[in-house]
Amino acid sequence: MSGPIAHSSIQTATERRVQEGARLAWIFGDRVGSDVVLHYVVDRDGKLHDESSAVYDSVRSISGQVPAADWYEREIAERFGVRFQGLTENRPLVKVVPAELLMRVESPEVSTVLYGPVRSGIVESVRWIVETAGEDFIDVYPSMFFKHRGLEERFIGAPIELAPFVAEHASGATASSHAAAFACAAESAMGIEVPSRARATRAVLVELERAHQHLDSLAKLAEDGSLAVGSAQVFAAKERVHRILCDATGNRFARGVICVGGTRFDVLERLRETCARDLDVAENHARTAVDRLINTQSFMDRLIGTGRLSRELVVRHGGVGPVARGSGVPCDVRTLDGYLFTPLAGEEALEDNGDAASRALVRVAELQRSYQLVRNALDADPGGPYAVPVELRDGSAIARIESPQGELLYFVRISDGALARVAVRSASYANWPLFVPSLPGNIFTDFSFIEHSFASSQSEVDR
Amino acid sequence: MSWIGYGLRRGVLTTRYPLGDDTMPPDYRGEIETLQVGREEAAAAAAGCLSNAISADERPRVDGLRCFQCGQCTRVAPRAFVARSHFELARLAEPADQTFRSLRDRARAFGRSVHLRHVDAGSDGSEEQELAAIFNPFYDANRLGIFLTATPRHADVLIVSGVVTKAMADPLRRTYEAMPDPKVVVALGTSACSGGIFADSPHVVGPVSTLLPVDVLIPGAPPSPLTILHGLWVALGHMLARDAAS
Amino acid sequence: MMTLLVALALCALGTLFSVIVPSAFGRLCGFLLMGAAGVAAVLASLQGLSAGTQSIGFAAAQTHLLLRLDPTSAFFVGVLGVVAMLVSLYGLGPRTTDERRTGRAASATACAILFASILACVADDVLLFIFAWELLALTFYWAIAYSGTDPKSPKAAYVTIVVTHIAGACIVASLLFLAHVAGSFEVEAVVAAGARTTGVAAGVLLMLLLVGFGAKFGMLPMQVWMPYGYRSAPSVVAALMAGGALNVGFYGVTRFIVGFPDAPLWLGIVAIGVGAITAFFGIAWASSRRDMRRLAAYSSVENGGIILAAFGVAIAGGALHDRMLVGFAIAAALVQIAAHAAAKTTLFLSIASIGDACSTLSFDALGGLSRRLPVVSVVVLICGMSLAALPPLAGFVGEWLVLESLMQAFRTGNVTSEVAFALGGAVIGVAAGIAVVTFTKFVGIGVLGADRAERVPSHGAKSPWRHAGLVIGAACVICIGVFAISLLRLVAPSIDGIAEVPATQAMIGSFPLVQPTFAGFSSISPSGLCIVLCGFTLMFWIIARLISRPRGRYASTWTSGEPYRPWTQYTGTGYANPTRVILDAAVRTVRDTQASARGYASEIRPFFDLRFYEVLAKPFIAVGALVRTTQSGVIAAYLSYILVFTILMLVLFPSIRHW
Repeated sequence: MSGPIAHSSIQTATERRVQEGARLAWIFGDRVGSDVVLHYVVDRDGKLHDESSAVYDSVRSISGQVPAADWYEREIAERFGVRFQGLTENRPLVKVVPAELLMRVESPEVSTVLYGPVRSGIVESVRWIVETAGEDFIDVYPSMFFKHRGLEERFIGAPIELAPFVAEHASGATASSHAAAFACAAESAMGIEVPSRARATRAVLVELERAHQHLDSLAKLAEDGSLAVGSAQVFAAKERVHRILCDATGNRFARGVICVGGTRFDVLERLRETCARDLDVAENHARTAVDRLINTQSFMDRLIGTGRLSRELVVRHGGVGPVARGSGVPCDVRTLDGYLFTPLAGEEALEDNGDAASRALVRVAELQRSYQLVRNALDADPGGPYAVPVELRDGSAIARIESPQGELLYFVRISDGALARVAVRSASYANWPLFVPSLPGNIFTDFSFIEHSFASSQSEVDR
Repeated sequence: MSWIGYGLRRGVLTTRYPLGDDTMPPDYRGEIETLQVGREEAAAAAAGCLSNAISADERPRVDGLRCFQCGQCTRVAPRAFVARSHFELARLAEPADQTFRSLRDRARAFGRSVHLRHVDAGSDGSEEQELAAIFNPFYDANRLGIFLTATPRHADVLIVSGVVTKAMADPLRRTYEAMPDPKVVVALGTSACSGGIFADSPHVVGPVSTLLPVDVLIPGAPPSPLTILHGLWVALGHMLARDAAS
Repeated sequence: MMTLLVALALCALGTLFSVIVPSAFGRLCGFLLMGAAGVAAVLASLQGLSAGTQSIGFAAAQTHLLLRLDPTSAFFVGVLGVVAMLVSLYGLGPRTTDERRTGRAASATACAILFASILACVADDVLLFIFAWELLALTFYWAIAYSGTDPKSPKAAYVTIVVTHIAGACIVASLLFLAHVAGSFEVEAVVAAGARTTGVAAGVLLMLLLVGFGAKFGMLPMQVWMPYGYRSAPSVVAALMAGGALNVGFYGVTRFIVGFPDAPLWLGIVAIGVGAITAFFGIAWASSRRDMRRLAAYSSVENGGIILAAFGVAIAGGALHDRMLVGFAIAAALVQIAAHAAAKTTLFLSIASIGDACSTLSFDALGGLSRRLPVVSVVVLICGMSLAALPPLAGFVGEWLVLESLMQAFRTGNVTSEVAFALGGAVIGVAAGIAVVTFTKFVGIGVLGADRAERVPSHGAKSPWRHAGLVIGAACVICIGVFAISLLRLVAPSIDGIAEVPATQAMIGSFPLVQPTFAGFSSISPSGLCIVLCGFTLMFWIIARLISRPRGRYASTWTSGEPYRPWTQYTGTGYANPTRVILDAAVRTVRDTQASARGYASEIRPFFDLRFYEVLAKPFIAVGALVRTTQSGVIAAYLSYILVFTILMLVLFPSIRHW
């Protein structure tokens, strides 16, 4: 399908579906030949619908009806040169410009705090332009994409054997989720059926990754709350998970293990040996530290009521992951049919209040379930090969994985026997538009609590 | 709710390294050692290395600063390359500007405590988590007199992770200029040492050495906390670097 | 005595010449004569302090032109004299931009205010005192309404005159009643007549006097006019108003309330309570003000509260027959009065210079003055430190003495007063803390940092007269602090006169120490403190010079990796906002914000602002509207009023005569 009429009808259909309760998951662009093709990906009843058409020159923005489309359209406008009419925000998203061009409020009472890109502590680089008249947030602009390395371009032309390594560079801390998502997308595109042993392995690696990332988020929250012992013990529990992964796979983040077609060696066997030895101790350490943490009232008081997001806001902006589940919006990809490994399915952890405490409690519940899910998968121990040979075939597909931050989408298009386009939509990217609306009513010291309750990875946003 | 009692009951988890010995698990892909056989396989592996770490010449070698520890070469050419679980990978660099006082003199000026300032120039997020890990109870860098500071004005050592993107070049340079002398620059991670798989990307300036005079290079993707401790210990002059050791 | 008359004459001449002589000469004449009057006043006060009481009167019975210069009056006249000298020295420089046209109105009103203030302090006749008070009110109105360039001055003048007249009414009522009881108009007799009034009557009279005099120095709830008045008058005149004329209120309290025989204990406790609350609210509101002059005005309110608390201790001491406590409290009050006069005058003069240089006095548009106006910056720092009660300056010594006097609670032997003293001390302590925040804002945002707005080159920045006035003012602030002992020795006659015991002797220890009148309690040595501070600073500087270090390097300010730009600085509103938020539960500021997509404007009003008074004034306005109906303009109505009144007078005359 191509042409302005076709594109417009896709847009109208998307708006209609979102109004009927579907979620806009993604809008991304692709260059096919000399055309720019826009894909609209909608999640309806747990199934992804991808409609695409070529566009020429300028198109109408749907972000008025569908606020979730805002960031996607702005990035496409800057990267592909497509003009979207009707965008409400005209400050650049992707291009890094001097801060004066991003300030909006003109008032002698208002001063601007430039927080970033080099911030305090061991954190990733992002610049916040906070306009304030004291202790409140009047206007906050997240100025991101300082770390843009050209990841999606790096995929193009890379051998399919080595491409998962590039995916792992999207976010090194959640390398398994990215590698698994890329592999699933490539396998769907080429029509490869992955053996269940490999799928179980991938599931275990992603669950262990969820464990160490959720522990990281909780430890950083404890650090913000000045609970030195608490944060030290939760970091120690995280270290134990890394040691399990290092014992089993040779890398503390399990990098270099997932490949298109399966895994690179019999990882499940190594995992069974290691976990039989070490998983109980790791789980016990995590459970006692985290229990103590959430029962420390002075700590929870800092989180309750902080950074509140209403359910409607999350739904309107298409939030995913623990951020959405903390506001009572169910969106766990693992519960859907056809996910990696079905015995993983179970009840989603949902909370109602939408504040930082709810998000922390969601992570605590998921953390505890992750250890159990790892045990279930290792006990199930499906036999069979750990990989199948890969036959390069043209095609394109979208795959999704529930990464620790939420739903991670990968689009892979293989044409003429090589990778032609790989697009990444991380959960952090989907959730960032929710950050600024969560700030009003909070004071400066709440900022880091809210930031760590979102637990976003900047490198998977900037790519 | 006694946190102190709880912490004390958990006992001591800290390693003795670098004041004692420690090891990584045997399967840890720390560095790739080149064996003498299989030149054809080696050439094939060189073609298949995403970060061009393997030189395709008479005696193929893996460049430790470019290797991001994927282990692919060990699977393609298992008789030519083998993974070792060594973790002491830090190297000294020759700063471009030779008028700098030697690293040894500068490190001696720090005395028994050194303050780190970290800058993320374009990393993938894992180096930050591993750097933060050196302060967890298993490694406890504070016992070595290594501390973290939020402001470059109080910092002795600048640790840069990730390849330097075009947008981060000026902020990185300003951070370096905001630090008082003497100061030491450490490049953390393979991307920071050599650019890694993004060395040729049009959006990056290059590894940290294109912008700042780097003293110590700590390769790894990401380098493990023990590797980072080795690197810092080398920077402070208490231990020999990788090249000197071999 | 002659010098005093000379001072008064010079003030009158100053007003006359300013009005008559045209253009800038008139202004020059006015300030010159005011300076001469100030010198004469200081000489007169020195005479009065050393030589004892002198009086002079003009013959012919029933004239009320009696003047008396006793040590108490001498102290206040001395303060007025010093303030006048500072203001006139500054005024000899070029005209400031907020003086109207040629500035003659400013100098004329300044002379007139000085005349009225000195007259009030030396009047020996109650009617003359009331006349002087009324003259002060009128000259204030004249200064606020007609000598400045502020478009909002009519409203400010209106508020000033209304509040001052309410205060005047209270004073007139109580003084005339006392005069009736005394049977004479002489001030001494009037004050002594208080012994003959009953408890209830005495209480009512004293409260009326307190409210009346309180309006002059900003006692709650009569402080409402001060931010308006001090803002609209030209800052040179405001310096005289805030540093000089303010003290007439304190004189009134000293003469009529503290001197009142058998003043009840509860009055002292009320004074402490009201003083403490005034201090707290005053400085709390000051911290969020956006205009420099308003901040200074509320700081005067705070000071007024502190001094009132000291007077409260004196009243309580009198009621409990502890004359030493009275002496100590009076000493504390007088030192604080002197300290505040010097610091506030100099501060307003500095504000005048800043206003000239920056054409705005809003904190959100100031900053970057330390290079442009170095002398003014240093002077502002010294005055700010003194008003924030930092050692070793005058404000520190004054406030230390006041707090020490409040700590003497245990000597009273009375539970209520002990609690009142303790609470008063606590609240004033809190106020002192907030004062540090407030003046950090004043100096940090107003003077330091980088420019927040475009600047135009200013005239008058290099004027030697202005510099002289500011530098001497700052020197006064430092000297009153460092040489507090000498000041106490100088004004000993006043203190001992009111306390009726040699209290000052008990306060001054052997080594230049100041201590409460009760030995062994605690003591400080302000001069010693100054020596130690300077000595240690010098020592560290020498040591730092001697230890060799590598040469430093200049680098730009660290802003998270971004290039430094001035708009990242705090605004005044931003700096004060956390304090305002913390104090909001107690202070209840009303904040209107309009935050649109592109703009932000907020208005922060203390709840004790005009709207509060408008609510109070509603019944009066209603009555006024009723009365207005009688003024119908029909001649027949007026004739009938005259007829009715005459009939009433004839009917009631016998009883009136009897009475």
